[in-house]
Amino acid sequence: MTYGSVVAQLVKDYEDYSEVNKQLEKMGYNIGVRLIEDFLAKTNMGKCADFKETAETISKVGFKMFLGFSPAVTNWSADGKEFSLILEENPLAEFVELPDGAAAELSYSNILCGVLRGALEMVLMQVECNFVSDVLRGEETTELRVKLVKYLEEEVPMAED
Amino acid sequence: MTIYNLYIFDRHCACIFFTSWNRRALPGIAIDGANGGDPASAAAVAAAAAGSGSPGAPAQGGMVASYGGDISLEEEAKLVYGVVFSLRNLVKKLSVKSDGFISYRTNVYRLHYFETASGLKFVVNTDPGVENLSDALRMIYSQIYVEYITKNPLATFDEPITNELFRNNLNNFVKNLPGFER
Repeated sequence: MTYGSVVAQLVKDYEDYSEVNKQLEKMGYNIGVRLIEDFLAKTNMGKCADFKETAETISKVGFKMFLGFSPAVTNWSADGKEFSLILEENPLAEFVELPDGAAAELSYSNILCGVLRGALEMVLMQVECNFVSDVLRGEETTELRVKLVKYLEEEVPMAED
Repeated sequence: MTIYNLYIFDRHCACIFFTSWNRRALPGIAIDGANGGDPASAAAVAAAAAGSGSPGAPAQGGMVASYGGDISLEEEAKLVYGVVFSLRNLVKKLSVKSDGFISYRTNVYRLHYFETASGLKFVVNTDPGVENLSDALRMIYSQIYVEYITKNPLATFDEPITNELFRNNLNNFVKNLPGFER
């Protein structure tokens, strides 16, 4: 419910749904960079071997820990760099109805996209994340598409001569 | 058995936290400190040995770093980071498991290292007799760092840690470790 009021306030402030989407994503990003530390501290996991393992970990451990349910990982692309998360129940969107104009444009749970992006960036993976479909918009399922852009390099201290 | 000091490095290779306990004053004479450009290992051994309070342990090449006077904290941190970084890469290339490098020991001190997947690095120097502290470091991370820094909305990332609560909790925790003695 608090999440709903946050979104409602943003809609009122910005009045432009694409701007709201961007803000939600940015908020999610800030949450994500800190959430990953909490996650790593609680689960004691080291680095995942590959992207598939990352996806499984996000779904089974991450989501389970923070939101209480585990979305299904499906729709792997041919090169193994994209996958979808199907959220059967979205605790953020319980009891929520979107107003008329919003349904087409507002990505209600966009904050989740930001969280994933922020968290994965801290473990040196750059990803893009967006909602393909959303039950709030009247579609059948809520589907989140995650695409790996590239692996980031670790920072090296500057050489002194 | 004592614990000498602790460094925390963030993922941008900067030292965001340093604290020391039991730093005994050195009677040492200072010869030109091992500043900039020296191979990290020799210099860092000297720096850390001086930092760990053991009187004037000569490093390779007959250079002795003075007690914190000639080497600023920033330089010392950079040297420590360099040692740790190089060793870690070396061990990673040699070993199969992901966390290969956890500690090394000289006859003067022992350095324990813990790294998270998010790039945060914890380095602790103790005397050689202390057992493996990687569990303790993990606990410092999960129970102190995460609680007071990550969960603190006012603590900015990538900047030195100035949080008093963090410092106090850390001091209490370390003082209660079995290896610590005044």
